[in-house]
This record gives sequence, structure tokens and C-alpha cells, in this order.
Amino acid sequence: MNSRDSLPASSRCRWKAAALVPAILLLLPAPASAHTETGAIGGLISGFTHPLTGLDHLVAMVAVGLWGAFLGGRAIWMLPVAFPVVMAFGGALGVMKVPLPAVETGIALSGVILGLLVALAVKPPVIWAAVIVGIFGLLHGHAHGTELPKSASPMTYAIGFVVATGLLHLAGIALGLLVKWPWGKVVVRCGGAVIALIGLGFLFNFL
Amino acid sequence: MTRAHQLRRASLLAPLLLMALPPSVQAHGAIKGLEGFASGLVHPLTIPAHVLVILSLGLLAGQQTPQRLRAPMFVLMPALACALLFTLTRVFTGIPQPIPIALALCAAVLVAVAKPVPMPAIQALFALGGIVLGLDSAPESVPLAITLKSLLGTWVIVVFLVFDVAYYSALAARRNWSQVGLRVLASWIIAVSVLMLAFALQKWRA
Repeated sequence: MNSRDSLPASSRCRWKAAALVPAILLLLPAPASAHTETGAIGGLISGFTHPLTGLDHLVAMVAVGLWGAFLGGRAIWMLPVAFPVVMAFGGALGVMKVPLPAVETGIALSGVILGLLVALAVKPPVIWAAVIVGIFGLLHGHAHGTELPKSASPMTYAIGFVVATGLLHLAGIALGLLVKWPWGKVVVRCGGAVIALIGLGFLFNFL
Repeated sequence: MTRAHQLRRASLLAPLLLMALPPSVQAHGAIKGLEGFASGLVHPLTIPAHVLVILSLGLLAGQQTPQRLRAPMFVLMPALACALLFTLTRVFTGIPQPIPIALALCAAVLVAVAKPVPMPAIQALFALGGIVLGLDSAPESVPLAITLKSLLGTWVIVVFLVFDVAYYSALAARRNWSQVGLRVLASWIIAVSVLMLAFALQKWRA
């Protein structure tokens, strides 16, 4: 007798549904895009992919979400709300060619420091956490803002990279919510350590 | 498994099946061949600043408690209609982009702060939103009948979208975690608006 025959009817249905999902996803048509990086859509795509393809940006954004969830309480929403706003002001400075010192070093340091804060489970008052995150947000925003006018459509580029940044924060928060469980705390802190190592890699040009 | 469970499963699978449908091949954007009502319907969705205004006004109205969506909507509808009809005079063929962006920024800041806002202030923002979106939606010079249909399309879609966003935000505002979601969304609108304003300023300086 097949082992699954012994399962109750509800479980069998669940198995069937679970098996169907990938099959249906395989049917999704792949769009043929002759032109991708032009016009408003091009700007949106390049803006959206920019934080996702730059590992230094990516780990810092995830770290913000992780730390927010780790701190808990008001920090869960305060950090992901503060970061994009301050980042936008940094972006505005970049667009208007206002120079900021050591932007690239600051971006690499953001991975190191935010990663260490998560790994060492540092819990400062929320306002201090927001200030730390805000300083790094300013530097990340400045780097994005400097590239903004070069893109095909700066406005849709801005929308794309703000949304991608926010989604990375949400991904970090989702991972950070694992701290509810004792094993989850270990996973999150290990995640912080990995982020700090990646930041170090960028700081010393290994990556 | 009960019949209700099976139906729920089926309803979850339906969107996946719909996604499997092949998309139509479009050599040019859908907007090129559109005119009249359809053109007006699509117009606000093609301008990022208008989308930001629609989203931020909807979020603002929906977030406030006690829920009173009718009061701001009854201000938006006539303000938008008057402004759209005013474009027929050709006094305005569009307004500077920083104006709608600044309006979206103001509304989004109020959502992110999440403090109670007096209804007259919300109504004032809705009136301003209606006027700004209306004046910035002047159609190309075409026969009057087609222009009127296009204006009607714009009026319908703006009212529908603002109400929709407000209604769903009002539903979301009942749960703590989705209130956080509204504030995060507002912070994204603030970020995009600040960048758009910076870009407009940089263009103006150049």
C-alpha cells in the first residue's frame, strides 16, 4: 500500500494542491522584451534592481530590517520608516551634487556596524537606533542620488529603488521575527555576523 | 475536507491559473491608440506625480479614525470636476510638476506621523488635490465631445482610485500590523516625493 494512501483526505488534497502550484508556475509565459532599459519602464527596472544587485546596499537594507525586528516594539516600524525618508534626503543631496565625505567607505561601514549590532544583540534606545540608521541612510541615499540623473527616467528610477529598498527592509523584518524562538535568535545573530563580514569584505576591497 | 475548504483552495489557485494565460503582444504602449473615455481613464496612471497624490490622499483619508470617507470624497469630486472643466478654457495646459509632488509629500507626512488630523484640514487637502489633478489633466486639442469623454474618464478613475485606496486603508487601519504597513508605505511616498522635488529643482537650476 502506498504510504500516502494512509493519509487523511484533507492531507491528500493539500499534497495535490502543493504539487499543482509549481506545475502551474511552469506554465507562466516568459515575456520577450526587445528593449528593456529605456523610457519610464527602463528607469523603474534599473532603479528596482540597483539595490538588489549591489551586495553592499542589499546587506545593509536587510540589516536595518533585522535590527528593527530584533529591537522590537516601536523600532519595528520606526527604522523602516526613518531609513527611506533620510535616504531620500541623502539622494536629494546627491542629485544636487552636494558632496558628502567618504560615502563609499560609509556604505561599507554600514554593513559592518549594522551587522555587528545585530550579531552582538545590541539594544540601544530606539531614538539612538534611528539616528545610527539615519546616518547610514543618508550615505546610501547620496550614492543612489548621484546616479539618479544618469538613468533613463530619473522619476521612475527613484520609485524603483525606494520600493526595492523598502522590500529589502521588509525581508529583513520577516527574518528578524524569528527571534521569537530561541533557535531563531541564534539564526538572526548569525545573519548579523555574516552581514558584518560582507561589510568588512567591501571595506577592505575583498568583494 | 469541507466544501468551504475546497472552494477556498480553488480560489487560491485561480489567480495562479490566470497568471498562466499568455499576455498579449503589444508593439507600442496601450496608450497610443486610445482616445476619449479610455484615454482619460489611463491618463492619471501614466504620470508618477498623479499616482503619488492619489495614493497619499487615499491613505490619509483611510487612516483617520473615526472613519468618515464621505466628507473628503464629497469635496474631491466637485473640486476635480470644476478643475477638469476649467481646462477647456485653455488658461492652464498643465501645472508645474513640483506642485502635485509637494501635495503628495504633505499628505504622506501626515500618514507617516499617524496623528489625528482635523477633518477641515483633510478636506482642504482633498480640494487642493482635486484642483491640482484636474488642472494638470488638460487633454490635447481634439473635438469637444472627445475631450469631454476624456475628462469624464479622468474624473471617474481619480475618484474611484482615491476611494478605493481610502477604503482599503480604512480596513487595514483596524489592525496594528497593517497600520505599520500604512506608515511604511507613506514613508516610501515621502522618499519618492523628496527625490522628485530634488530632481525638479536640479532641472530648474540647470
